[in-house]
Amino acid sequence: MTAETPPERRARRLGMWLQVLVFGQLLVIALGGLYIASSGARIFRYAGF
Amino acid sequence: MSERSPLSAFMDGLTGVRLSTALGIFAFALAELALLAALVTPDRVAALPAGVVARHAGDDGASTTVAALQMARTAGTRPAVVLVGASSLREALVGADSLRTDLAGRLGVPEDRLEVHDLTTSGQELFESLALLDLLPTETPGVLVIGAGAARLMRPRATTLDRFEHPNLAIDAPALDARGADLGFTPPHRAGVYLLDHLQFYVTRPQLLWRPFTGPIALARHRYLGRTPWTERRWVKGLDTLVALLDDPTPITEANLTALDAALPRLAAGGRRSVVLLDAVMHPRARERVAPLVAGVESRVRDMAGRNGAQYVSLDAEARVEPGDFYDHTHFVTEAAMTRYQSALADRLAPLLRACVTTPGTGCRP
Repeated sequence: MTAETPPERRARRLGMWLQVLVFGQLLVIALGGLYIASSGARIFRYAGF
Repeated sequence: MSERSPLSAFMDGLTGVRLSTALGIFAFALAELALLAALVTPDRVAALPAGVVARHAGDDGASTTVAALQMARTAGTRPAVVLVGASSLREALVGADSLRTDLAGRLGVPEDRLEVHDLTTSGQELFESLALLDLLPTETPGVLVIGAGAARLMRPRATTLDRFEHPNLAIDAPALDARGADLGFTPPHRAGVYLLDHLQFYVTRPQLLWRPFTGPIALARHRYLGRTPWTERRWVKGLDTLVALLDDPTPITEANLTALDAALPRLAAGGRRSVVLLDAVMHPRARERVAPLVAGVESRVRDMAGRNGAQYVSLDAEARVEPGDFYDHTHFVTEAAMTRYQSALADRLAPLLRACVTTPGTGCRP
């Protein structure tokens, strides 16, 4: 195992932050989708008959 | 020293599985949801154009939610006309601004002497109407126009309960859950956080996240304007459906009549307001077909109005409605019909508003 250079550490941390942002946002979207599916929330409403 | 390139280190950080990033992902999601809950409040939504909240141009649930929240915050002692009801009333009028112009013209006053709040939505249930009217500050004088056609009161139980389970409006009204409980619906837990308490409404309107920056969409009030009216085949099917609906009263009918009767004294606000129970406009063919089925309910609504100092009116004759005005049994298809109907409504409302508009501090009574 060799020591990490400062540029490598910065690049790795940048990658980790990006992972948090992307997957965090995906988690929010997935939770929203799960909530819509489980609650039966109306995306479309049929008006009239 | 390491031999990895910065790109390799970046990819390691991006794709590596670590406890720290897993915790970060959950913390990010939690923080975003908390931020949204803090940002989406009734005050902020009331300040937005309805086109920012609306899912599509015809999203009257969104436009009425915004209008109702605005009304609750801005109505004061200026006389107000508040319209609640279903699509038959919504489609029968040109619009709220136009009605205000008509009323101001009849009363001979500037338009800013009165307000008109249009809180109609397609398929609006009576419990939604009463919850919307509860948002009007008690001190506000005015005239409340409640769509009270028999088809609004004689609802299938499943249809009414569906509106409780999947709300079309995001309003906090104290009596709403109580009315649901009366009808057998178990109200969800209320967290006291507006976004969470109306999550079904907002989770299906993610446009709210970007429309404040990209701008509102244009809303269309009328869905049937200019469409091809029902064919004879569609008429037969439509009338059968209507008759089936009205021929089989459910416990919801009785619950609606009881709730309306109980609400009328409160809505009159100690004589500051008049209440008009407005029969739904109807195609003459449909009117003739359903008349025997709705006579009992209409009679009870008329008695109820009489006992409570309200008016029960049908404007079909005054508006000179004719078969060519309609798309189906109850929705207008021409702007000329809407103009005639709105004019007839303004003729009815103007005498009720005259005293309170011309003499501030007076109740809106004839």
